Amino acid sequence: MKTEIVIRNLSKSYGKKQALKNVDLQIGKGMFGLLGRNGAGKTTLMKVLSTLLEKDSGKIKVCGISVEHASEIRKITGYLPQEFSMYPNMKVYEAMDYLGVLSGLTKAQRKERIPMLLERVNLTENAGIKVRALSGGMKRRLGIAQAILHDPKVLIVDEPTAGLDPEERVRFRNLLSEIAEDRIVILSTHIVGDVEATCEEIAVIDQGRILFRGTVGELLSLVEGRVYRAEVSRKELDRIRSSYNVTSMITLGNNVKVRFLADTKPFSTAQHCDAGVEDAYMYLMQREGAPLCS
Amino acid sequence: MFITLFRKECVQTAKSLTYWLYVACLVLFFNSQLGNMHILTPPQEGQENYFDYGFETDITEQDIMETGAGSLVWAYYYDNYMTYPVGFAKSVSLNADEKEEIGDIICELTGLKPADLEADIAAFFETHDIQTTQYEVKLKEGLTYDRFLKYMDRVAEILGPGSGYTEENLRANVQIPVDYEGAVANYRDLTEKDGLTGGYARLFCDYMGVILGILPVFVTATRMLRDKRSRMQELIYARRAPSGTVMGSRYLALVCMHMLPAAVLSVIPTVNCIRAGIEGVNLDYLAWLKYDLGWLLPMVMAVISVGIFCTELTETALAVLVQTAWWFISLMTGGTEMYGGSYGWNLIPRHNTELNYAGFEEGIRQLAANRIFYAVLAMVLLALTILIYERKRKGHLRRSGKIFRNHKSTDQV
Repeated sequence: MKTEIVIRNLSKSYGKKQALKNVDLQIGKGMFGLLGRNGAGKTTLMKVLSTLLEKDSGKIKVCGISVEHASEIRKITGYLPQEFSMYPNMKVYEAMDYLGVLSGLTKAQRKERIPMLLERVNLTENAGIKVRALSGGMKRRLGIAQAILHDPKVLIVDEPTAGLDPEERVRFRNLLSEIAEDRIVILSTHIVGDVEATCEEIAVIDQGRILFRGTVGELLSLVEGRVYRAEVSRKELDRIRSSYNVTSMITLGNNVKVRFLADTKPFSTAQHCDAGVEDAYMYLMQREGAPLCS
Repeated sequence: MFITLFRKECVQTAKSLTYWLYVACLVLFFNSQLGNMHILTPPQEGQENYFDYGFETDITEQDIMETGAGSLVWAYYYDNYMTYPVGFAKSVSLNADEKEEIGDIICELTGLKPADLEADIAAFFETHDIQTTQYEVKLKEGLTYDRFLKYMDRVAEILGPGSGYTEENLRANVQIPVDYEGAVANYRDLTEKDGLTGGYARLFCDYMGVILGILPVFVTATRMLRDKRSRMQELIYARRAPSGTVMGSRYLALVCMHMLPAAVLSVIPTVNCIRAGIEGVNLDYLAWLKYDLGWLLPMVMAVISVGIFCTELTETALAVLVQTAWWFISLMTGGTEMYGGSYGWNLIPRHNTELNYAGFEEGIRQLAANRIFYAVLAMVLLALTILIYERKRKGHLRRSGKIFRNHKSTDQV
């Protein structure tokens, strides 16, 4: 059984709103980032893959199993939902044990895997405390532990780092990268930094369509030679914002350090600089005509 | 997987505050209604009365007329009219014209003028025990049952809905204590046919049915809504456990956990029977179990199935409203059949006496059909709940979360 997800011509609508439009994707072993703004269709795609939503049309095979065979898919997938929570009055170990039973693990398997996973997510010392007492970061780590409890071939994590402090976010990303060594991990996020730090393969989705599919390098190549920075006065800033796609700004007294995209060198003081994933993402969004929030 | 999940669901229920409130209510109710249970001893010839040994079951039209007229005279004399319009007692105040009309009706029924009533009541209770006997009044010569009912219809009209003067209520209100022979026959039935404990197990079921017909829905709705409140739904949906296993184990755990305290309490009447040490009685030591399983279990199953079905379907506490309405209607319907024998299709069958084995025997087929019906209904509702759950696992019928919001607002996906 090949560790691979193949999506062909997938569409899904909610009433008149089409959430996914003819999505084609092939995802192999390792970390795969699904990048898109809020409302782009990421969660819908994640849920269709997790059998929590039925597709309208198209074909999906997860490790060779058609997504219509929900019970078979559930055996080989782990899911960490965007709004992750557990029974607050359960102890950490108890909650894992409950979900382990629902995953079909025997008592012996649960006894072996739960302590191992809690150790892996650095929650061994918290095994006896109630879920409600965990911090946000701890809860997310517990979320990962529960999602890989039954050792799935595919792990689907939806917006896992939202609301985490920088230290927890880095720890969480590293954890995901470790887990992805021997399985498919699909990371859905609107935070570009998460994808940049962890994923080799990515897809950018907007309004239900896949705008880009490739490696981080390929995404960066889209904006190679198009990223500039300059220090301008506040007066000039308005002109730059109306003419170019500004990807970042830092205010320095009366001046502003601005980073923007342009096809050619726009003015003499502008300096060419290395492209980042965020630049490429903004470029892609602008190119596709999607209105950007500034 | 099923057994392990069942055990875990039992533990979850046992950790719920609502469940312990249920247990507390059950114990308090038992204590208030059956806490001072007095085990009947054999009747003695010549004892003051046989009120404890049951009532006559062959009620004649004459009995109904005498008791009904007596009740009206009593209410008129004390100017205290009670009705039960929606099950709760309501005191009705009559104006002067209405009082006069009632007085005229009494005169038509009995020939007694208002001024004669006090003397008649006093004379009756000179020869009857006021604690155990209903006041009966002598009727006018030649008063027919039809004419009596016509007058009573008018009284019921004056008093408004829920009065005791409809034919059904007049019949239900007649309680004529048996005589010595009747007491001996009833006691023989209780000890020989019911093994003594059977009668008390039935009385236990009658009382506990009142509370078990409503309380389990609170615990059930709380448990079912807990997944939503804790945002656990998707975590469970995405697991491999079949919907039948998830819901089935949860349902079975709720049924067992609700029956457990009821079963423990049901042993107490049996223990009391043993402690009474009445000679010559062959006690049925397992009567409590037979009645728990045959009488209470189908009711608890039905109430919990309503709870899981409505809560899973609507993800609200609607089940509490539905079950409260059903419980109320059942109690009202059963109010006229308190002495047992006629169980109908009522969710809460009544048999508010340890006696009347004859009535029980007569109605047992009906009761069995009733209990089987509710057990089957419970299974059907459970099956429908599993179907709803399965649909929800695939993204249908959900009423909360991002998906539902998507249906309402198309700008978020």
